[in-house]
Amino acid sequence: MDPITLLLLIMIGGILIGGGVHFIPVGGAPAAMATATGVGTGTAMLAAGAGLSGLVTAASMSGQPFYIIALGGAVGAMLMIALTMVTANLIYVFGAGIVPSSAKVEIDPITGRNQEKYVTPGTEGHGIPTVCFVSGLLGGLLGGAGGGLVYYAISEGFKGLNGFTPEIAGGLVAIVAVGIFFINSVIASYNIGGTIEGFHDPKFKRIGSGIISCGIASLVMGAFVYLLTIGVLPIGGVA
Amino acid sequence: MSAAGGGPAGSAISSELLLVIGIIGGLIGIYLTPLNHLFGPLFASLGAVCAIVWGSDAIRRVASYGLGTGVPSIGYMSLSIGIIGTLAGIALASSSLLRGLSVVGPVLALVLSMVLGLVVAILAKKVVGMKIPILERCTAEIAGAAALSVLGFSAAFAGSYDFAQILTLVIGPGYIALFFILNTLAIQHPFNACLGPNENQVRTLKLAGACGFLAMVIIGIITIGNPALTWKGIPASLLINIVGLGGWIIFFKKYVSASFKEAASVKWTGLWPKIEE
Amino acid sequence: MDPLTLGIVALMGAAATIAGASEDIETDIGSESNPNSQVQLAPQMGHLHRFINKAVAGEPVAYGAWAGIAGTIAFVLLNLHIMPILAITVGAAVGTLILVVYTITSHMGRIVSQSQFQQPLFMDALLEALGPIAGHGFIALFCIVGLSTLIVMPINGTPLHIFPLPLLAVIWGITLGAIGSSTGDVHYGSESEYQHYPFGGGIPVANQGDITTKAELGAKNSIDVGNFCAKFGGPLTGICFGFLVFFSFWITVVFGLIGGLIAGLVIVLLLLFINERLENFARTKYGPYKE
Repeated sequence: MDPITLLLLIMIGGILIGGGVHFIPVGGAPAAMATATGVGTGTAMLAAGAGLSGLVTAASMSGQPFYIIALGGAVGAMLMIALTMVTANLIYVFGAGIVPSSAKVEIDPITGRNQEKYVTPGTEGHGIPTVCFVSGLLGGLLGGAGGGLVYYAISEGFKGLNGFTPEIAGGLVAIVAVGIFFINSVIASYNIGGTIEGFHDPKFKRIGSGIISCGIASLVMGAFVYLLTIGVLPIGGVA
Repeated sequence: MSAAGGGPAGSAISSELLLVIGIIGGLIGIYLTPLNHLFGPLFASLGAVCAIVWGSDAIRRVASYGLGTGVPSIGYMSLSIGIIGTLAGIALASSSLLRGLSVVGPVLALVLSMVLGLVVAILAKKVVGMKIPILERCTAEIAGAAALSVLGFSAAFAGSYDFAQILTLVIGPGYIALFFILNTLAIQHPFNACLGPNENQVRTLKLAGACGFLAMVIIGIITIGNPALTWKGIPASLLINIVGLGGWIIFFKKYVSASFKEAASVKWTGLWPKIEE
Repeated sequence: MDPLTLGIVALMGAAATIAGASEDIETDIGSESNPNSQVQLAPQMGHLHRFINKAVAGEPVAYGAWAGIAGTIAFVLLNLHIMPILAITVGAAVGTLILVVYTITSHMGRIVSQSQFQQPLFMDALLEALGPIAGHGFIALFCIVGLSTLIVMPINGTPLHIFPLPLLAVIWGITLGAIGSSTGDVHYGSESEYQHYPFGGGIPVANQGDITTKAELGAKNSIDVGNFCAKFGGPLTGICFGFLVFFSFWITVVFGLIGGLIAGLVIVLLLLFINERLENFARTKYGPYKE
């Protein structure tokens, strides 16, 4: 793969990862006490879990064209996010007797259900209502696809190099892809200050600056991956 | 996930001193790796321990401002930066561009990681709009500490800091993933564990030493997996484990006695005291 | 579709379920991750307690590290041709020891750094909780490394996945940590931690830090939390992680590559439907808070 395509794919992947994080509904620590809407953990934490599940499914599509690998990543990440959100809601509803509801909107833009009446007074909502669930699925789709693209770009970038034997392929590509995924997801988390409800949250308007910074950072990381390909070349053969 | 705020409390040991210990100690350790197959890995892993202590102090300074995402996120972001920078650095040093100059690998790894850390921090401040005055310096420092600690442990396992060796022995079998997550935990745990209004730097750094040596013990166990690492019949893993365990016991004891001394009260049974509302 | 592979995938799902359940119970006993913020806040609000404050954050990083240690040591031992069951056991045991050391350091660190609120450092509370923490941690690590080993074992000539064992252990550890901190912790944070408040509502911001510090008899301790969460939060976390591991491989084993992707999307849409029904059930059954 030529360096320009490598850089471009890593940049697009990074933008998708950074953008996807903005969709994932996380309420941080307060959500674990049913004091805020969303999944009860940090953005970067949930994105890491979803992204890595996506990476496992994306890597099992190795050898396929880029859109299949990206879709593989998306399916893995969406599965993880969807299962997590359903299980969390089961615990909110049956374990704590709570109705999933958002405090950021009066009515759920997807189901049209009133939210305000169902929010416990003194809290900022709780659980994962349908609009957050859909937003989370979109986040998994984008983030997982981005992770898959980065994985594809790196493995194609090394393909054909002398030092790139099947024994080292899995480890090398995976660790670099994991690194790029983590950096982008943390930059995006900084952008939303650690918590967001989904695309209906006012904070979502900041997505522009998140995408720009992830894009630039990924471009620099792409250049680093290119340096890495230069180094893999001479091993076990003539440069 | 408790957020801290307001900047770091006073520090008894200056950040410059810890920076020097981290960089010089880390680099000396890594450069001594080719010495032989017994003391080389020992020095490399000791270098990594120096880098972990330095990184813990940098985390302490930046995370005391309250990042909004908890302490761990900056930890694993910086470790990711360190991994990518390290791989690019030692790869570049072994490439045909710098033929015969593979000796600059560790320095290049450190520099590239710190540059990438600086780029990410500048983006976080200028584009994302984070308001932490020391974000650039600290992110670069943590990334540098990450690079030296990962490279130190990798060199200890491979018995060399040469890219070809590390690629086939450390990255291919996936050991690099362990070094990544283990060092993330070791670097960010000390401050995160001691977070609170009565945190103090010396106690946190004692814990950092303990975490670093504990990581070294793990590396010692794992080096059993590289049978080439013996010298005059003594396996390197034995030496790393003895030194690592010794260091860990010293620092862990210091940390526990400091904790007992600074605690409001230490109780072995009973209820809490009544306090005035 | 080959029945042996399918059986292996089912076994992996079962191991993942056990891992998830014991991971969640372990972190609840230690008050790890998000509910930890309340244990941390309580002394400041004048509520002293006898809980473990195991701030090894974040849970994904911590479990990634424990599983990584266990998986890597198992991998090294497997390469030395040691019996797999023994290799996994030794790996998980070393991982558990490290977990215990980190538990001790974080509990002492956090409690001592709050000395101005007169919170005592209860050594008996810490020591009596270490056993259950180590036990549940060991089961979780054994199962994660076990399922990762099943993934890399060449059944019928090819392993299920191309990643090496240490990497898979780290990945599944991080994923399990993410799931455990997002699902099971809710049962601890919103119910067990605030049990003296009425059932059926979120915890208002004003009540935060006023955690339940007393039990039926004497002080509530961290093992009580484990007993409580083992009844609902823990098992559900296990089911969630078990389904994730199972579905991730089942879809491609049964339906092939492209068919598997379609099957995955269908499962996701089904989950969306289940969630909508669940929300509907809660709204009609529980009703609004204010009319």
